[in-house]
Amino acid sequence: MKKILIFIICMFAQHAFCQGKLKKLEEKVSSDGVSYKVSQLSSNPSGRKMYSNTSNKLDNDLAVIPEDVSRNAFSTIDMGKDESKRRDGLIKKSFELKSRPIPDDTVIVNYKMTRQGKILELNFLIKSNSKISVDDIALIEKTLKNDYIIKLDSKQFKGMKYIWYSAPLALSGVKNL
Amino acid sequence: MLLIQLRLSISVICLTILKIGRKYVLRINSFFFVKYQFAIIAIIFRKKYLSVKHELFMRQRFYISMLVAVLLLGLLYACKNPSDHLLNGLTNVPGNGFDLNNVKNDYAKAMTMVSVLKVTGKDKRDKTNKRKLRWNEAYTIETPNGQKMIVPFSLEEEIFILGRNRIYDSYGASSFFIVSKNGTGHDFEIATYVEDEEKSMADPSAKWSGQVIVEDELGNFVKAVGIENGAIVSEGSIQGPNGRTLGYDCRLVEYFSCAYIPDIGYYAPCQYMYSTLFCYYVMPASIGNSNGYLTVVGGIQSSSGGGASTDNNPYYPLPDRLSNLVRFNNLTASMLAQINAQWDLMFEKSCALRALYVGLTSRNAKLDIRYDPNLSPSLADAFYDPVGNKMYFKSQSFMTEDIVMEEFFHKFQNAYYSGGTTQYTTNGHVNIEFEVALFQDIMAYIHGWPDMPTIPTDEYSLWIDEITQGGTKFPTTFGPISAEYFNYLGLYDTTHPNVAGTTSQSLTPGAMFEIFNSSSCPK
Repeated sequence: MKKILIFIICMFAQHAFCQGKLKKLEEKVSSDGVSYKVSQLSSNPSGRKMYSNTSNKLDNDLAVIPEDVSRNAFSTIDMGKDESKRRDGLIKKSFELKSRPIPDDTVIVNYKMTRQGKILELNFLIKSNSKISVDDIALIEKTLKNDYIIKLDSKQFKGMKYIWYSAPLALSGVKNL
Repeated sequence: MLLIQLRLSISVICLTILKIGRKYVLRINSFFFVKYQFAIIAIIFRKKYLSVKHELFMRQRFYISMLVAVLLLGLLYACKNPSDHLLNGLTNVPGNGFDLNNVKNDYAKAMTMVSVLKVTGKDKRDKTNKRKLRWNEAYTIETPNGQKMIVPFSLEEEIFILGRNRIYDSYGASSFFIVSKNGTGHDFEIATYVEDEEKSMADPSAKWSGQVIVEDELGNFVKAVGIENGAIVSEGSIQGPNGRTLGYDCRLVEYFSCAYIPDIGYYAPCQYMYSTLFCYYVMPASIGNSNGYLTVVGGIQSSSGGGASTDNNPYYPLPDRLSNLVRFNNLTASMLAQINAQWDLMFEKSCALRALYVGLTSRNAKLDIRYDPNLSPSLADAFYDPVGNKMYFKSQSFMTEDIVMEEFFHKFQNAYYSGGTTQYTTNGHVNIEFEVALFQDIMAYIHGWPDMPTIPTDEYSLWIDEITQGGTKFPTTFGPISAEYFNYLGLYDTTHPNVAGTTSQSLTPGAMFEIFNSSSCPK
């Protein structure tokens, strides 16, 4: 009886701890030597995978939104057509310089940046059957971090440790630019 | 008409020139200026130094130069700022017949009488006559009694009127400063809308009922207008009856001095300051003689033709969706247009937002919208107050798509949850706020909009992916999200210290599922 009880408790505990928890699947290294942690929710094995640079420090950081940050702050981040085009142009140029084909896929990019719009860290949500390689990811990350400054009204975010936002990056659009 | 056309043509030519390069215009102008300076010098000294032939030549050149200079000055004057020629804030209302400078002068003259008034410290006029009129926000409306100009205002020291459910509204946000033409001069009125609490509470779906207390610019009582279910039913005057009367009525209005409590949505603690007893003979309303009191507040529809007509309103090229949601408002036409435009955008953007609108209108979930620049804490830039069923905006800059959506979602929550969301003002308030944040995150993920996810962690991003089945379907029941919902609710509470109240472990996001379920969205 005691053994059955322990077994049941273990089952429940396993269920509770595994539910929705981030599970590291593997670590991938690009040809440039940049390593990425690939994770997924244990409860959603067919869902997207998260690629995070192993040097990232903010992946699980719970930033607090200070009380005096205006509700209009987010709307000051320029994500208009012109800015998207500028971003896509930079990525296309990088792929062309490396003579790499641009894959046809859409990745969701999570940006973490300073109040001045300088990108601190990125991570990428990629479909589990995606053809995007770790080298593609590394190239996109390098380009965005080095060449892309996001336009925003820094005054609106006063007191924030960092600013984050998420946006899809359609690589088919980059290719056809 | 010809003059307007001429001015418009000049403006168009000017703007084109300016587009090419304003600096060239200035250069041309300075060139001619130097030129006719020489010409003047030449005329002054002509007798001594110039021959007659040369003088004629110089005179000709002088007149031509002058003509060109006058034309250019005219052009520059027209170009200086096209809106300089129109009244501030009235630029987008065609055919307005008010000259703002004349109105201001007449008002200044009328207010010189304030010094003669014997106002004691116990009279509300001590505060109400110290009003700050926002002339740059003035706008005109067409009423059955002619054109009126509305000038938003606040008081130097705001006072508050006790309203429905012990909610206090600022005098500035409850009153309208109305300008009417009177021959070559102007009349000024302050119309204060005092809601009939009992009637409003008895039937929340009914149109506005209450009294419009009309005073002159010095705060003297002029008349009272009774409104029931959006229609004028009586008029009251202090002058004796000269026709059929309905009786003699008195109405006590109390004024308070209040402080704000952030994020709750009402003003407290409030201290009693003044009371004014308005007594008048009540007469039946003369149909069509509303003097525009119904037109002033766009949310009130009138059966006697005084309602908020949008037929000739240049702000409403879009479907007027807002009037189905609003019972009373003190917004300017530009603000109404902006919120209406946000609804139009929302309609285009998401099946879920269309369902939100249908959910509101099908429940006849009307509310009051108030523009109140007196909202002091930054947290209260815009909010929905379920207790008073009012939406507040501190300024037009907060009437953005995101904020309009969020506040109307809160209104929907109030209509959806049995007993309303007042019960969650403290316990469960975090749930109410997190629900709308999650609603936004789900929509953004599925539609591929840029978003500032509510929680900036990897796990949360993947959770949104999971509950939307890879961004393809809207969740419709609590089951699939239940395992992590309260975990993220707790994290939301931690990371959003501006959200007051506590979390409730029994309140699940039913309003969100109701919208997704009733929508045409993939699910």
